[in-house]
Amino acid sequence: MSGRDILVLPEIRKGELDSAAFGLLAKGRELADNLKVRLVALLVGYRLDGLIQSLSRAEANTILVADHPALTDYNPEIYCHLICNILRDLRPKFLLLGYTYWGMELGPALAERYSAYMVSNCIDLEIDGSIVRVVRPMFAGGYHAKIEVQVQQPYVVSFQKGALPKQIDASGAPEVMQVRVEIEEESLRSKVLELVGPSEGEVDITKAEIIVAVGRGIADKANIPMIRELSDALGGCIACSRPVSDLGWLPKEYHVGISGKTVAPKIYIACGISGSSQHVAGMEDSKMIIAINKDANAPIFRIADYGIVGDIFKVVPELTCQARVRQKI
Amino acid sequence: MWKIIVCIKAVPEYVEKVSVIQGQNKVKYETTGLFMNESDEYALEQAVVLKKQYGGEISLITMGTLASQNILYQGLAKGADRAIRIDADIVDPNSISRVLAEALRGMEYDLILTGVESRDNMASQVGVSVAVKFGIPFAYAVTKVSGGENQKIIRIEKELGGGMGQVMEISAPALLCIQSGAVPRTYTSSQKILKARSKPIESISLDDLGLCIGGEMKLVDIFLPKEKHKVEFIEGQPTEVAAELIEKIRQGL
Repeated sequence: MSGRDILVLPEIRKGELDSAAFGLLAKGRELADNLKVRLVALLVGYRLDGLIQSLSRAEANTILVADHPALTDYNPEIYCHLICNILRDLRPKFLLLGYTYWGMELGPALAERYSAYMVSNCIDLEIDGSIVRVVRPMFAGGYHAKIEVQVQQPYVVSFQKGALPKQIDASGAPEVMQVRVEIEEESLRSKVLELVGPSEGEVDITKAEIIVAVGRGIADKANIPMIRELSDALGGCIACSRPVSDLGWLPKEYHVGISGKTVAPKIYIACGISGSSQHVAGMEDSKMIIAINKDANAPIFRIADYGIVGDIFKVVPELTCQARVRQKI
Repeated sequence: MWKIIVCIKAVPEYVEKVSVIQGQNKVKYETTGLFMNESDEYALEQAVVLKKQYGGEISLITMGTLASQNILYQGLAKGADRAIRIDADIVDPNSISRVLAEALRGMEYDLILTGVESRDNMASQVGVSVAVKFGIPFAYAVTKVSGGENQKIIRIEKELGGGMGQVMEISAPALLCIQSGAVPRTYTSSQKILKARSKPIESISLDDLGLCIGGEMKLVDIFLPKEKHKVEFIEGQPTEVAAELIEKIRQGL
């Protein structure tokens, strides 16, 4: 392997590949072809045989595997130390990872340790000679900025999930190489005590066909029942954006977004949700998106199929009323 | 007695007429005013809770033009003891973390708290970068902090995304990026803020830090995102709008 390769670092959560993995590999393939270098995927975790199998369809030249019991639970300190050693051996020009919580934590840490230049939250990236051109969001996703970077150092780049190319059908036969893993647990300054998952008996909004989601525009906890009435009338499920669950107006299990649930119902009705990229990442694959918001410039209208610029306190009750009438017929 | 540094940023809520100031790597915009970035405010609230529980001292630091000074007064009113402003307007997070680390070098701390992502730059980069520059442990998207038996070991809960989380123990000194909603937000009266305005704000320039910034990144353009597809706006009285929507929903099922 040369010191110019592209390295892709897929996230593994609960023993499964994060959905961004194949998009990252497709983007990595595009860049590797452009630079005429090799594409390497790095898997870090424990008992990875099944995942190696699923990655064998991807068009990587090599799959590096760091498989060790101490890597079962993600600990940023252990992962950072290990991956950094691999980076120093491999010396890739680009490290690609997802702009997920995992990538938001590991990306800057690896960039710093590997003396790389970090470009995070990318929507698009192209390489033009020695210039790296990136498009990334600013101002809560309301704007996109185009930047150019030109440095001698390697790059660590994190991509927004939704911005990645869809998986390309590849028939590559990557070589698989095991990496030696040595972990000195005594020197660690952080320890994972427990993994916390969604608790039993929670409502699973990911299975709903219709979701009526509420955002900050609801203004007060006392107005939440208005949204619940609509979701009931439509036979759907209520959901919310982060601020609503942060304020305790709805339980966390109803929160849609990068930090909460990812949903793709047939119908997603966003009521008083501005559409920050954090929220959009959790619902943009919905089949039909309807947005009701008083601000005509709200980013939610950029991904919506149908938009209503108006007052949710007028539109939602009317919608509930008509949905109930229809059900009776 | 905990020594806590909280890094906060002043950001605009709504912006208009956004453009790049060519040659300066700066963004020009019109806004109604600058506010404390949401998750940074939760970081400050978390610091105030820890100070109440264990005793301590809170130092606030921000980077920005004079217009960002207001959030420091707001922070002092909330319970911070000291406030510092680095007088610099930088967009590149790689440079921001370099400057911030240089300004914090030499300060005493058990904890450095930051938010998770700034509303304007959306990079989620500076907090963790600073921690690694200092060689201290870090955690991102922290939703709970407690001191345990002593302040050498800090017990935290953090989010991993997708509804998953982790409970961890981290030894101090450490840096924690605090997630929105970690602790309840408190109300600060305008009277308290007015009173805080009489407190001094320390100002540091890039010259003071002996730093020269820039060159690696060029901000070329800033624009409204391309629409993936065109939204169809439905107009009319609520009854008409609702009737049409019900029809769309029926077709979509």
